[in-house]
Amino acid sequence: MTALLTVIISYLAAVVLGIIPGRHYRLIRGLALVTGLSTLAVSLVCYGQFRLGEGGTFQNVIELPWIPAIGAEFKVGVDGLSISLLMLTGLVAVCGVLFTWTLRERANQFYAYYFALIGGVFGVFLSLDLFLLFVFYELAIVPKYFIIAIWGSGRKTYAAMKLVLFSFVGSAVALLGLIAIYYGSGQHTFDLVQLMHSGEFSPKFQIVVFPVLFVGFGILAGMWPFHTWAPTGHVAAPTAASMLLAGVVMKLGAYGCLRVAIGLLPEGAVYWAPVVGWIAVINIVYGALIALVQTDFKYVIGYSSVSHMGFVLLGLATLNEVGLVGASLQMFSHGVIGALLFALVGSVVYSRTRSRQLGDFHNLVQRMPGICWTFVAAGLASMGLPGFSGFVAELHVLIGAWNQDRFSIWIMVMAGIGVLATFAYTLVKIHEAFFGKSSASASDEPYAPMTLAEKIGCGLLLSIATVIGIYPPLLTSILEPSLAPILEALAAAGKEVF
Amino acid sequence: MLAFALITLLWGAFIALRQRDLKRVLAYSSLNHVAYCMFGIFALGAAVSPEGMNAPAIAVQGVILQMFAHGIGISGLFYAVGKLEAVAGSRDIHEFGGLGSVMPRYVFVFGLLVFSSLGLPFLAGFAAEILIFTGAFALAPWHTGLALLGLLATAVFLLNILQRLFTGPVNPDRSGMADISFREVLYISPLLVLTVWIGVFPDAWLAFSAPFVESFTILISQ
Repeated sequence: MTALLTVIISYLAAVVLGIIPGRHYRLIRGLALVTGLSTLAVSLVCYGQFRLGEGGTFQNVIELPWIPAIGAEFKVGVDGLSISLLMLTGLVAVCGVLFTWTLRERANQFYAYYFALIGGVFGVFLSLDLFLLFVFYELAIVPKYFIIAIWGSGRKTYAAMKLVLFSFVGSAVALLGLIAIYYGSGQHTFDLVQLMHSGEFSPKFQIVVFPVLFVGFGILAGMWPFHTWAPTGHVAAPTAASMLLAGVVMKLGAYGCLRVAIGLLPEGAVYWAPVVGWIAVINIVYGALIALVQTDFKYVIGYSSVSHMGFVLLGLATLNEVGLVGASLQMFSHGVIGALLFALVGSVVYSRTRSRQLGDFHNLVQRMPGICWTFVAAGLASMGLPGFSGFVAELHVLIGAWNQDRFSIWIMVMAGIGVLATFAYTLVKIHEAFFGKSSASASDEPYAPMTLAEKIGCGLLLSIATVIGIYPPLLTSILEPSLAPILEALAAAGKEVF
Repeated sequence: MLAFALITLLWGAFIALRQRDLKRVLAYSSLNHVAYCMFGIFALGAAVSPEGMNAPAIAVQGVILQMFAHGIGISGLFYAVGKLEAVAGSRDIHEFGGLGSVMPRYVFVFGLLVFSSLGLPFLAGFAAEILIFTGAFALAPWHTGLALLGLLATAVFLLNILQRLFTGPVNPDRSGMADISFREVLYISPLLVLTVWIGVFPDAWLAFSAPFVESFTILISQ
């Protein structure tokens, strides 16, 4: 029951906040912060209650009949993978509110959509029934549209429509795969646990259906060449929403790829692994190179998200323990760091400079030293400097990829180029943004220092990234046992296929 | 015949996208939604080997539910558009904008009905369409794949209406429009309750049509 509270609290808050008249914005943001904190608290309780000894099974399971006609149930539960993502969602939800602290325009509606989106995200991570998972996956799409279309900036209606259409295409393709699974198992059920244990999918079926599911979910994970919604959407979205989109929503896709596509169709995964590996390294290198040439600061971060999600996909493609743990760690790590970067660029820096163009920034290191060094720390964390979570995650992924014999050496070469390109764009863009001089706006007047809400938000995200970077067993201890069943299925499938 | 249903489905959506008159939009959207019913029915005809599967039953259940859901949704939407015309004297979607801040109650009613017909989970349209697709997939997987992408066309034109009417700058001529009263919300509330009820607990409704569907599927499998 504990875990389900995250969904209930979020949707309840969405309704309550939507009803409160917009002029009480102080009350609204206070309630929003309390809601975020309570979902975070609930996910931490789930973490505390998680029984490591039974880490391979789902815990906290609730099962209710729903639509027997098609064998759909209301079934939720958690394992280590979902708990790590629940904590991430709670954390980003709290920080999103902190970085939106000054919002007054239609605050009630904003938070109503905000928590409707978060409720859908929690729901996906909790669902143990494919039908329910799809329901929450769809429910998460619509609030994104309104958040971007109403509170966004730049070409916001275009970006909102583009993002929603990509999401709908992705979910339609994924639905096709889910329905195929429903029939392919011969059991006429959507029950994820039952399908994992006793689903008998023929090798041919797996090889045909795996790409359908993987691409369907992969679209939301920012998989090349279907990634273009991500930078456009993230840039146009208001800060709290871009933090959620980059930090959490992209993980919905990666989670679907891992839990459903790889978890249920291991033989399909083994067959397609090299192709996925190639796509993943293209993601990494392509995203990094495009980030290198962007002049809009927010677009830099947008493309860096695409590049970092490439590491998640590469980890998934390795299909071995180190790689899958790495992919799950990277989901968490990028969630935290990506959210921090979007918060800094979209809110902290923008609210002071009123510009996102790197060319407009003049001598920021002296004019906003605190913010500058926070960004440098966040940038280094994102680049994969040892001591931060990004390093641990990417190292796991790269070792996993190295151990995968079926990857051609060129995949590793590409991944290496990707790492170098990541160094390059991070350092170049930090230099351009904070240490560069602009002839157009050459003022040396200092900007306002960070507000308390901004300090707490940045501090929270940066310290989590550091804690996980220094002591990764906090997460790996719950991830490893929970990935074990998937790895067993993959090991069996490896023998079948070869 | 399946291809025919597919064409109707897409054609309805694209024409609806081009319309400026709200009533015409709704009329073409009906075409689009009824095409989903046709699709479910024709999928039965295309069935290769339905024996031992409950797929035909699911498809027929979906078709029946879709007829019902669409009936509720479209009558509610026509009522809503009629209301707008009565208040504003126009049905041209280009003349409105930013209604979200001017008429919040109206937007809630209209939005709920549109989202149901768009197929948002926990609303009636979703329950019906998912049954049609689940059933039809076993009977004609490739066509169902295409029809699923057709859903996208439906989503585009419906989101387009919502975007034009409710977001963006308020048309200054229309900024003083009165919102619908609570009593009017009450009048239409049975439709809203049904929409949510069917969406969340479709099973209660499927039970009504189950006996018919059972005898019907036995009939066609002979």
